[in-house]
Amino acid sequence: MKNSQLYKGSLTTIIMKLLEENGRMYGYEITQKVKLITAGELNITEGALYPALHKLEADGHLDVEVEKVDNRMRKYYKLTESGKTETVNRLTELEGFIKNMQTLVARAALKPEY
Amino acid sequence: MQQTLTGQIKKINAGQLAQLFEFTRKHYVEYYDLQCELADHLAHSIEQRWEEEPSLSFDEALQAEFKKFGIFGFSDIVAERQNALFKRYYRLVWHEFRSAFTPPLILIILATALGMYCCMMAWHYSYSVFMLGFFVISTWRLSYISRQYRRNLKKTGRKWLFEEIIFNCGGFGVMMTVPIQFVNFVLENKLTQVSAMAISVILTLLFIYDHVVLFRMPATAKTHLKKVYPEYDMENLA
Repeated sequence: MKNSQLYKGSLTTIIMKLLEENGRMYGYEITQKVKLITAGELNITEGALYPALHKLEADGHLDVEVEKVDNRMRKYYKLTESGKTETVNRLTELEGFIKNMQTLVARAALKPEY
Repeated sequence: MQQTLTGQIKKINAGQLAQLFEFTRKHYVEYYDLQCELADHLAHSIEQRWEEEPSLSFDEALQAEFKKFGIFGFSDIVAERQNALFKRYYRLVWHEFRSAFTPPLILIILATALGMYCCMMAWHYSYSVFMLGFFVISTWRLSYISRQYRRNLKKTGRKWLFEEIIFNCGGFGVMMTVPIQFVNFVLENKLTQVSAMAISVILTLLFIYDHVVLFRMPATAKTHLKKVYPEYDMENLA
């Protein structure tokens, strides 16, 4: 993931948003999807992704499904009902944060120099 | 999609998949559930890399993909998975613990606490009988379920993290030291009505906790494991 606390703090929200859009996804698929959407700008590292997925699962926000693909066990993650509600809350919170930051940054840029 | 010179799309074969499992084991991932997830991730990323660089050997591709996990390799993932599953375990224990406080059982709980209180007030040293009983039952049960777990592990050859937590009773050893904390009250003859009542209530709650982690959780382990690992049956019967 891009070396910034801003991105790190939003990792779970990014994961939940992707799962909301795609239904169910597996770990590797999430890393590739983020890379694709952001045209390689944002790169979620595996070392950050799996702890975040496991934490969301333990908190009851994610459910798992396992399927045999190419003779391998593939673990898919999907949002639970509480996960869906949590996603809406986190996205609202994130949108509010972005809006406030934009206002603050715009005001700072307009501030006259004395 | 890129192909090799022979026109074949390079895919991970069974032997290479076994090597990936071995690789995760060598990097301190001893739990089968995590090995499966990480081996699949590595397999997928190696195949993706082969599409871009088909001439790369399996080992070269593996090392390149493993670097993406950072300097700590898999250790952070294992540690966080343990934290997450311990949290889930204690949530289940709390649920079972609360379920003991239903109308008919509450009477038994109150009677036990009152019985212990009366015994301690009549003869202070009766506390040592309760403490000894607690130790004997806990130690016997703990060693019994540990043996049961080891036998099962030998049979399946697969170590599941949540199963280990359940059969280790979430680190029950720490709870076994709680009754020792009250020994001073008895030995130094400081047992008042209030302290005797408090000790009786705490010991009764400890007995319920003891019952949940040593008896209820291991007895219902399969149900919990199937919920955490949808593949549990599939893999253990394979």
